[in-house]
Amino acid sequence: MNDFLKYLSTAPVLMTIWLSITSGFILFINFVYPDPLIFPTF
Amino acid sequence: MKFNFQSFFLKMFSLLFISVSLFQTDIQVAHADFSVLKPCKESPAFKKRLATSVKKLENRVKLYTPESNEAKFLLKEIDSTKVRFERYGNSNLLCGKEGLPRIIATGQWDHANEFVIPGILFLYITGWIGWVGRKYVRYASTTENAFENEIIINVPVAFAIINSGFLWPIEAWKEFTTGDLLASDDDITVSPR
Repeated sequence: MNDFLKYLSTAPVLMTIWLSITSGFILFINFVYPDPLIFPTF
Repeated sequence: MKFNFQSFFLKMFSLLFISVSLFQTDIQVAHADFSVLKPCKESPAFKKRLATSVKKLENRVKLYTPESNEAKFLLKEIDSTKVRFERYGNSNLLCGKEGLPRIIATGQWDHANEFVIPGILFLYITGWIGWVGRKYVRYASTTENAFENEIIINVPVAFAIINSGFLWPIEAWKEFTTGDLLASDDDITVSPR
């Protein structure tokens, strides 16, 4: 288990996980609020 | 004499501040005259664009049976097109002669949400990313196994740094005034000349 956590902590693996989360977040924002040309004022 | 960037920056900054506050008391934001542009809501070309966009999609819908996924997708697309045009029309956006919205980047406040606010947000977020990266690398350099800590990330420490990074402008300014932000000239290697 410890070795597996170490593997997950290596820079390329961590980068892949982190960027997947980030891109998923941006996809989600664009799904909920599409075509944001300007900063929304509510 | 050695060139000291920090004292140079502080001198220039105070010089700018003093000269602006003494001689340039009536600074005005450039209010450009956008006589060529008109609000999108009043632009006939903008309305025409909406009509042609919807028309194109409606022509495509006719190619499919109403129950098909393609037709459902295109109907959704028509709705979102209408919503998009309505939103752009209701906002403060100005349209050109060809009916496309323009982003005003002069910095004036009535158009701040088009460029200034997203721009500042961009700088804030990229600054956050850069700041926590720097902080982590500096943390790693203090550890016993500095090289390994850059390859195998210490995740709990990294997360603590990431979460505390939102105050980076204040931290950066603090470090700048104490002289910790910039490396001294002696630490910078230069090629022999």
